[in-house]
Amino acid sequence: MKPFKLDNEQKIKSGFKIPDGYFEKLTTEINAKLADNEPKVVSIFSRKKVFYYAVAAVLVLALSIPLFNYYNTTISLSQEEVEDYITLQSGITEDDLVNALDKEDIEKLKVDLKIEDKVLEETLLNNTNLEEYITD
Amino acid sequence: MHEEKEFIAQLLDPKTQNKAFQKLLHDYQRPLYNHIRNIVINHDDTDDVLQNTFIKVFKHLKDFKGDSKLFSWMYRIATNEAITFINQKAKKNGLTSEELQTKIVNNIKADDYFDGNEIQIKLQKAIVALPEKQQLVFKMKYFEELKYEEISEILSTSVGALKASYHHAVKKIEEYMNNN
Repeated sequence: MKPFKLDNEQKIKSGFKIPDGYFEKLTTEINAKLADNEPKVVSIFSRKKVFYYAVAAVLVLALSIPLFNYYNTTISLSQEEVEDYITLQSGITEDDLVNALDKEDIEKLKVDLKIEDKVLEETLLNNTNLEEYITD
Repeated sequence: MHEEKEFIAQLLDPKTQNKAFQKLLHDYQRPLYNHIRNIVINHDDTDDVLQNTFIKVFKHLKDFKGDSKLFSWMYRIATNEAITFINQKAKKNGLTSEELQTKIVNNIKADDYFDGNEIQIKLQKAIVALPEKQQLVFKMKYFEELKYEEISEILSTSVGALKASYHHAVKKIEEYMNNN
């Protein structure tokens, strides 16, 4: 038997078959896919839609006026009133306040009082209850 | 070349695009089908890849620079799509692409859309045993009868290298055919 030589042989075909009518179907399918992929232009300014949106917006605004009036009553409190409330009305104890303050807050509270030595001496001399100052 | 430029312009112009694309489909569907089928072997897979190829071509027409011919650009897209498809299918099945190809070719007799005789089956088996690049070059040269210059533009490989690849492929195929 002669050795196999590709060039000496009759052309060997791949042997693949294509289903009947395949290419007609392919064209239709590809065109359909491309049509699906095309971005559809939808006008957001179509007259009908604009009208409905406008009606809806007016209704929402109209209905919200009473609600706005009801909730929009801001009460202004003076600093004094707030302090009074905290010291007299609320159940906040001194301990609560101390715990609520951190080091930074305490630093901020420090007031640098420039008391002259003379005034300090006089105060100490005139005040008999010295213990209060010493212990604090 | 001038004709091709004109045709590309028609493909890009929304007024003439549809008609031009139908011509493109008509002219290229058979050669691209054969090209993809030779790589993926199965008809249904070829159908998927071919549809994706044309959709990709349509979507990227605006990016086509015209540095290469429309023909080679489309073949390049088809080749990439087919190879990507095979790799993904192999991955899904937990196989390498070579193992998958071998499996498909070993079952080729059962394929409804294959009616090859013993020698055709043997040739398919000999091809699948080749390295991927040699397989591609052999199929494009032998089955699709493309010129080396055309294959060179599609695969971005020199004509010399392609000739060497084809020569090696033929030698290995003859060896397989004589020993099996």
